[in-house]
Amino acid sequence: MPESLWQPKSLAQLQQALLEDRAFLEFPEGGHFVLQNLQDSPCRSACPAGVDVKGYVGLIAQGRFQEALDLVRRACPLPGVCGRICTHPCELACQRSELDDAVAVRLLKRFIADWELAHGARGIPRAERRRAENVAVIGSGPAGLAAALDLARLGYGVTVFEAEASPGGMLAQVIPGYRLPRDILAAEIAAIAGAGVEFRTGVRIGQDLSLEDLRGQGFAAVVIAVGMPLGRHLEVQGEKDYAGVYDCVSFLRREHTAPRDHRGEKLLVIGGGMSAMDAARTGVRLGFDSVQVVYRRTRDEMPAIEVDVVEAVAEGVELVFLAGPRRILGEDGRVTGLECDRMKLVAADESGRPRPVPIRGSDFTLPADVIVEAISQRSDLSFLPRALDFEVGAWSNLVTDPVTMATRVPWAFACGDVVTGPDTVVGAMAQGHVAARSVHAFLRGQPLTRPALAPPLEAQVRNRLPRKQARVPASSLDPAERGGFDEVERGYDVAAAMVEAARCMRCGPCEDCLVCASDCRHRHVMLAAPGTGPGAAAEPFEPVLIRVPADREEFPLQDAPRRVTLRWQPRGGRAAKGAARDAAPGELGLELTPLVCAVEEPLCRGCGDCLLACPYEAIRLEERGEGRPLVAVVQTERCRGCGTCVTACPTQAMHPGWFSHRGVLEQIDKLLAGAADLKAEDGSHEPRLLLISCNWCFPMSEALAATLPAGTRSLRLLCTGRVHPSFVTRAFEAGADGVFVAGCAKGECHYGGGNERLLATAASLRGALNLIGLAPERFEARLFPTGSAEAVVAAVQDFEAGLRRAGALRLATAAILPLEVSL
Amino acid sequence: MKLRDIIRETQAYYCLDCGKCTAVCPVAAHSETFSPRLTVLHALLGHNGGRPAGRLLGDCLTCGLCTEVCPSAVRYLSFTQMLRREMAETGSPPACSHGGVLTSLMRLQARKLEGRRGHDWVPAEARWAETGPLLYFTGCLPYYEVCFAELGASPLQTARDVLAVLNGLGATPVLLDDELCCGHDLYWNGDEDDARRLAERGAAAIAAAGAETVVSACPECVHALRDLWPALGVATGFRALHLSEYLAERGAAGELGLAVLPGRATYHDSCRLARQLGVVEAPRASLRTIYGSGFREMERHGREAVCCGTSGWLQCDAVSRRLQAERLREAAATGAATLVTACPKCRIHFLCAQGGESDDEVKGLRIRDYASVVREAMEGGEAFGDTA
Ligand SMILES: Cc1cc2nc3c(=O)[nH]c(=O)nc-3n(C[C@H](O)[C@H](O)[C@H](O)COP(=O)(O)OP(=O)(O)OC[C@H]3O[C@@H](n4cnc5c(N)ncnc54)[C@H](O)[C@@H]3O)c2cc1C
Ligand code: SF4
Ligand code: SF4
Repeated sequence: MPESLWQPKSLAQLQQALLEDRAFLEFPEGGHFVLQNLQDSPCRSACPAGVDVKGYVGLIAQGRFQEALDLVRRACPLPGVCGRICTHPCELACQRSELDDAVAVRLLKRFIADWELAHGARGIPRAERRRAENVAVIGSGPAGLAAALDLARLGYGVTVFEAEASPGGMLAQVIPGYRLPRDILAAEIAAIAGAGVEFRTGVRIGQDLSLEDLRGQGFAAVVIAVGMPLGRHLEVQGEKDYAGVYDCVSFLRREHTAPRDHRGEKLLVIGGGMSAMDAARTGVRLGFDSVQVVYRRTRDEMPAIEVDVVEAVAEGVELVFLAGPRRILGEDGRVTGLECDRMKLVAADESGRPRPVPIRGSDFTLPADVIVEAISQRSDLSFLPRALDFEVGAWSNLVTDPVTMATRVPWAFACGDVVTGPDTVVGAMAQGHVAARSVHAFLRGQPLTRPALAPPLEAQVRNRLPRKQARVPASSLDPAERGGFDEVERGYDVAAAMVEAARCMRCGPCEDCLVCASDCRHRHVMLAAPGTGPGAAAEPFEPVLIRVPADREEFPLQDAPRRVTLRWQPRGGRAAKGAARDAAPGELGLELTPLVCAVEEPLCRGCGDCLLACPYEAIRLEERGEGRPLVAVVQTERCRGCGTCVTACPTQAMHPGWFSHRGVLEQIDKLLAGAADLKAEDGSHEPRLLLISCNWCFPMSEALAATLPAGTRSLRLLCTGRVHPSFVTRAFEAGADGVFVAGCAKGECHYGGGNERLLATAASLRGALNLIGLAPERFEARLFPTGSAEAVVAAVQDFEAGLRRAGALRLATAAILPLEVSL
Repeated sequence: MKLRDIIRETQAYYCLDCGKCTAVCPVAAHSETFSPRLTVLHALLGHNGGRPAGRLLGDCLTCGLCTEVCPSAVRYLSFTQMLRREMAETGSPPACSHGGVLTSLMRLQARKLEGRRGHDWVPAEARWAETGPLLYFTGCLPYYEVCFAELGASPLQTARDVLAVLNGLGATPVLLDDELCCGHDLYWNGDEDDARRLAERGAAAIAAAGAETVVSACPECVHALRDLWPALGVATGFRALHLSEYLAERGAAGELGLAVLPGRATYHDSCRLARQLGVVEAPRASLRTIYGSGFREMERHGREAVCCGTSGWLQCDAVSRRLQAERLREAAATGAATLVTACPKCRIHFLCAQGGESDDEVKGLRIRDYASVVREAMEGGEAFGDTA
């Protein structure tokens, strides 16, 4: 059968096809199949671009660097750049800062980017061209790059037009090399090009080509991401009269392209932002005798990032506060100094900062040979044809719909600094994502909307309650050695990165590991055909996990399963090419189910044991009328599916999503199948042991897993709080010689203390096992620090040695009783 | 066994479809799906293969109220047991509560070839022996001690009380170091093979100890040792007696020197003791002496008493809870401050249900084992040991 006519017979088949990239799913609304958290962690909520911070930090902690980088790249195409110069709002939001220091998110991102470069960059997989339309992006700054990559991933042909010789916008032209080495930028742009984005540099729209030309060349939509490339001036007396006065952008751009020797000269930089620091520190490197930064307010009000200020001071920059420029002085056509008023701060102005006002008669003069005005920037929108209905705002900004980034011209969208005014790299990228999404909707004839992000965390929900542990410092170049433009900050090495990443408290309900998106059996989201699942009589399809594509697009999954009709399309290989792809799409009715617990009311006796066990206060008891017992009800928006309540419930009224009690027992039977028979021959007995472990805490490489004793069978549970005594007894019935449970250390439970429950379960179970005369060495439950898979393996090896000494556990019969009837 | 044979063996074909069984069935009173009459009818008419769904099969408490009223003497309990046996062999047996761990432990005992449980719980001052004519069979009490610690019931205190009572009568009972489960639950849940394994090894251990009389405070153990072991083809050379029967045999209550305890008390008959074993009077005789005019009967008592809500650890559910709540209210309605039962399982079930009740009188009930009450009375009326 030709691949294009292939129809999945089951969800499992479909899953396989998705895993092998032979098919992809599309919602009727056009969005991809998406995974969404019920609530986001504070770091992710704080990130304008929505980078899955907790997710990739977690992967770094596990040593899965490439996966971490892939995850970052879903929302941030410039990990190496952002890892260096991002203003990291995520760190400001990090809940860990209440305990000690915020997690060093930026440095961690830098680490994986550097790691990839050092290990032969894999880059970004080439996006497949799936749609006929071409989109032009004007400007190759972070906004344009983000939009271009998103559009390429959506299957469009994308060309980026850049006026300058090398792409990157401010990153390429002005941001100094000691903060952002250009080879890093170049590598990231190469990765974006590798994904299928075409770059045409040295083409200035409005000069070499007009906007209409682009339309004429067949670009169905245009993204305007031209930034604010021009500097603003102070508008003070003398400014235009003397040589040696620059705006910051021109100064940096000029010194970046052709650095000059300024030995013997004095530099004055006016301003307190990032660009002022860049001008000042660049000045140090250019040989200026003295570099002074003149700022109207005080250090507390400086918008520059703290480290920049610290480094500037370390490098010899002098900060002059409460100085308000009044007049530029000069002689013979050259600048000689700046006359300033001494300022004082009064009540806050509308920017929220205290307002500086001059103190009468306090003026003083600072000598200077070069003055850089690092005030602000403005745009150059001269290329916009008058005939078109673009709206330009008071700050020379291009006005767009704030939600969709649409301009008044239907096929034109804008993003980045040109819309917002001078902002940040991450802010520009965030807008690029929105613009790309809108272009996609526009081209598909769908209404323009912006995805609602998952709501931020209401309360502090931490998956781990850590011990105090300070941030791992990163070293930097000794100020004495900072002659040239060599990068100042040094990143983490592997060990430091993993230690730092492990400091993340995993705030929020979802681990964001996105394991669910690939091959993990333990996920919070499941896909099933309607009418399947717990309680359903017939199960036409086994419910399966399906792979979730990269895009973080809207598909809310609050509590009830959501029915969706998914279109699937064959893809890849021959079928991907040409019309065959669209020729035979299939439809599949599916149900997307959150992995949360539910109570089977007839079985609930209203004892409330579950309520006491639930770490998330997700359960309440409700009345069901006179003479009837209370009934437990799960509040799905709080439930995280750990299943601790399931263990507590005496009647199995509590069902944990798909991992039913019976399901686990079945798995144990399957894992140990035939184990009892192995004991027929004496002597050469290989102990068969069941290792039950926490799903999250001991990721084991294949190589390490191979060093487990040969008779080990491994069962991973979402949480070891889920370990029911019957799991252990069933294992013995099924022929295990021993059962070892590995939970994570106290305070490190991924959920709310399931490991403590494990210890309680183990203690009473041990009592019962003693009574049936089972040797103590046959059962052990132990907690290990997160990530110490080696320690777990070593302990299991010891445990197995004990089993060998104890000999085979002999039972009267190898026949296991069938499992109890499912409810 | 074929369904035909089950019908023949249990005389189900005599069913008149009169519905008396369903009328008295406590489960049917609260469940929308369960009806003994329909179960028999379906078997006779061959509906759905003649077999009730596993869930319904598990719902029956085997309390035996239905057989008390059946005009045709259909052996409904055996009917249920045989169907369960068939299910255990071929399909899925009915589900058990507590994740099935208690049943699993029973099966492990049945199949495991060696191991001793020890006597850690026995007080130093107690007198006991390794061999002798009288044996005290403790049953599952040590297991309940670990599995139901959170109920605060100390099931093992019951065992200590039994030992004290026997010692008080001058007896030095045998305690088996390798005592196993009696197999009652496994038998009734349909796992006859494992029940037989337990019976065989149990009988051998008792014979090795030389016991002629086996006393237990658990009606299920007594029922197993007296009725089920022989039914499983295991010969027993001893008599099995419930503690209350043993006391009755040892003489009039006065002879035991029982003191009078203050307050009002009522007595809950366990299904096995009252209906299977027909022991109704023996515990009452001692309780009447102990509580005098303070002893009250509940509305439903003796052979008409209603079950404590679950049996054999089979699926406990909302119906169980309602039965328990009802029974506790019935006990409280007598004005009694103490609810005595001669079955440790009934006591555990009631204690569990009591924890969730809001009625003050029900919450105020002291739920005690018969053995503990007798011990207290024998020792002159001071509460002894802990609160059991
Ligand atoms: C000195 C300085 C330091 C900064 N430091 C930081 C920092 O540490 N961290 C941070 O997050 N942000 C920093 N920023 C801000 C950040 O660089 C900008 O917010 C960001 O680059 C804006 O991105 P953009 O894509 O909107 O525009 P830009 O990066 O400005 O890119 C616009 C691009 O469009 C091109 N272009 C313009 N007109 C045309 C045309 N007509 N035809 C073709 N191409 C055209 C330009 O050449 C340019 O390449 C700094 C800014 C400055 C000036
Ligand atoms: S596996 Fe679970 S925790 Fe991890 S991202 Fe997926 S849904 Fe979230
Ligand atoms: S633990 Fe089970 S029986 Fe008890 S209230 Fe919760 S769901 Fe109901």
